[in-house]
Amino acid sequence: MSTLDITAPLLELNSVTVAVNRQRTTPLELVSDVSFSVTQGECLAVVGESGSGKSITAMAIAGLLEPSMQVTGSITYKSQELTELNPDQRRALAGTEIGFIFQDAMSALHPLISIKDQMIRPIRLHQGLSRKDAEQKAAELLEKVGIPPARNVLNSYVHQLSGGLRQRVMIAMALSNKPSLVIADEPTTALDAAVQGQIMELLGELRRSENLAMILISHDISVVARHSDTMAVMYAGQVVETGPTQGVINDARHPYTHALINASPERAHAPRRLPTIPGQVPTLDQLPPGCRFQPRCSFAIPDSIAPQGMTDFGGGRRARCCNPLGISA
Amino acid sequence: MLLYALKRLAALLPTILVPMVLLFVLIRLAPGGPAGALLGDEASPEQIQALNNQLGLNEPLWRQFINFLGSLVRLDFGDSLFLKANVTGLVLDRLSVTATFVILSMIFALVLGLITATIASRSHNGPLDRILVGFAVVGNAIPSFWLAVMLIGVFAVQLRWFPVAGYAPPTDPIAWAQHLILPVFCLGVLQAAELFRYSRASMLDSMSQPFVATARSLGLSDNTIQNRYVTRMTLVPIMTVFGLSLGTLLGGAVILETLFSLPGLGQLLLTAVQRRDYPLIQGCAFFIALIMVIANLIVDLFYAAADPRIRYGKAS
Ligand SMILES: Nc1ncnc2c1ncn2[C@@H]1O[C@H](COP(=O)(O)OP(=O)(O)OP(=O)(O)O)[C@@H](O)[C@H]1O
Ligand SMILES: [Mg+2]
Repeated sequence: MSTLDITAPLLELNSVTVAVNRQRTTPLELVSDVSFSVTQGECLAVVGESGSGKSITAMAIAGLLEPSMQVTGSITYKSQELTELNPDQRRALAGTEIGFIFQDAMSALHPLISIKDQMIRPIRLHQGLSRKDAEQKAAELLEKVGIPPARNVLNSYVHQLSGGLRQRVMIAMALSNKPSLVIADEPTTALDAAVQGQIMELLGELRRSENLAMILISHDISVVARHSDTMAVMYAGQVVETGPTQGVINDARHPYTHALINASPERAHAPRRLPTIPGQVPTLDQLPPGCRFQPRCSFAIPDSIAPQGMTDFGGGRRARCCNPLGISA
Repeated sequence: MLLYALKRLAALLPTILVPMVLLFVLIRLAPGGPAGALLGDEASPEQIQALNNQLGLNEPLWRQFINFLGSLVRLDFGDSLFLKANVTGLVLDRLSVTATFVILSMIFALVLGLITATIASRSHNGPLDRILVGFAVVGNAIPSFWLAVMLIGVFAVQLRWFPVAGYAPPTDPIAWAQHLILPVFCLGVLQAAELFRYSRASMLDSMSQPFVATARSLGLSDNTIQNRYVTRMTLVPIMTVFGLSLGTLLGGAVILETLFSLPGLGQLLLTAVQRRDYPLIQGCAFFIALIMVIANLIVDLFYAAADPRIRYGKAS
């Protein structure tokens, strides 16, 4: 912790695997061999189909996994090995170093406790403020996320707020103890399109003004393109491609990345039908041998049935593919 | 809030009226009457007839009913046929004993139920959880009179820790407590078993709610989350159980007052029924119905206080 190298990543995952215990059989790997890193002030986007392990990875970083799930591999944050910390040490980082913004603020906030009381409890816990000072602080935080005091949000309950206001409150809470890293798990999925844009703009501004590092989980390629510096593409529990966002989107190496980007509405130039990826995501207990995408891949070769490691393509680009795109053989 | 309270009260009025009318009809349909009970088995039909005239029981049913409604409005049910004293006074006298008994049992049940539910849900599926669930299943199955007889047998007759039965006024606090411990434990522990089941289910449900993950992501400790966030969610279901089981609770109190010889409303009602003491039956029943209504009103108001979604209505 003492000598922080400014070029060292703020957060680094190395071969992180998350497995859940099952009755009468071996643990099931939900996330396998995930490696990526985030530096101070950087925004890493994580994309991938539903069930690819994005949220599980995020919760592993934030220490929010259920006790039935085990993390192996290494997660270092500010040179501290998180997987070796005891629960109390983990808890000390929660909110103060790593903030978490949940998808559905309606259920992520307590229905029976006023916004004020929910906001000031963690502030008082970590900053030791008096109730009055903490209330002041909560009001300032709300202003910072664009909620004027006149809205009287502090004295409201979550069911009285609109979706956009709720998500702003959620963001204010996540930032209330000044974390350096914020994980936003699909922060705008529950909102309508106009509000989605506002919330993403707010997150972008806060990120710049507070120099926050952010892990942004999203299904929306245009949001990813606009807001992230680097991205990681997940498929069936693995990262299949990482690299600078522009490079990955414009010139994908992995056939899955290519298909995913082409399947997103903004990218489809053809007016009628969106291209879809043939076949289905394999279930985690029936994974194909070797490359997990190979049964659905139109570029599969005989080598694809061998286990795949990450190949480095230079410039920060890495992909888990033995027959990558855009590389002339 | 006041308007809400008045509205609820108006909605609850039929809850008193309907059982009172039913009771009026039922006690007159039941075989035997106060005259027979007063005069004993040897009384001649003429004697009974004369007494019924004197008690106003030979008047047409509709006139008796009007008199009865009048007594409801005036809160004056006349004199007890046997005890020769004003019914309202008699009832209010006994009410304090019953109220103490029931309220102490409820508090005991609430504390015991909540603590055990917290322990069980925090060690979900662990040995402690299983043992507590086992106790709750047993507690739900055994009748209160059986438990009372067992408790008296063991703790009063065998061990002599407590008096077998009877009551002492609170002016002598030690004797008062000694007389109340067994009945309160008996009524409370069975109610706690019921509360335990619902609270445990509600706590387990709340523990997997997203707001718990939010609280954890903000660094709150497990104890804080349990006591402030999870238990908070169970207050509403607990009040529901309370409201629903109030009838059982009062019914149980009647039985236990008799077994433990507590001079409460239940005991009074029971003797009144045995002697066909119509005014006393009606008076007791009225005040029991009134207690039910007030308790339900408290439950309703508590709901509104505990859940802001009820307070302001879904629309706002
Ligand atoms: N408690 C659990 N026990 C067993 N499997 C689980 C558990 N929680 C999640 N999973 C599985 O882990 C996999 C990854 O889930 P995860 O929530 O990380 O997906 P995701 O990428 O976030 O998807 P989405 O885009 O729908 O949010 C899924 O297949 C899911 O079924
Ligand atoms: Mg998810």
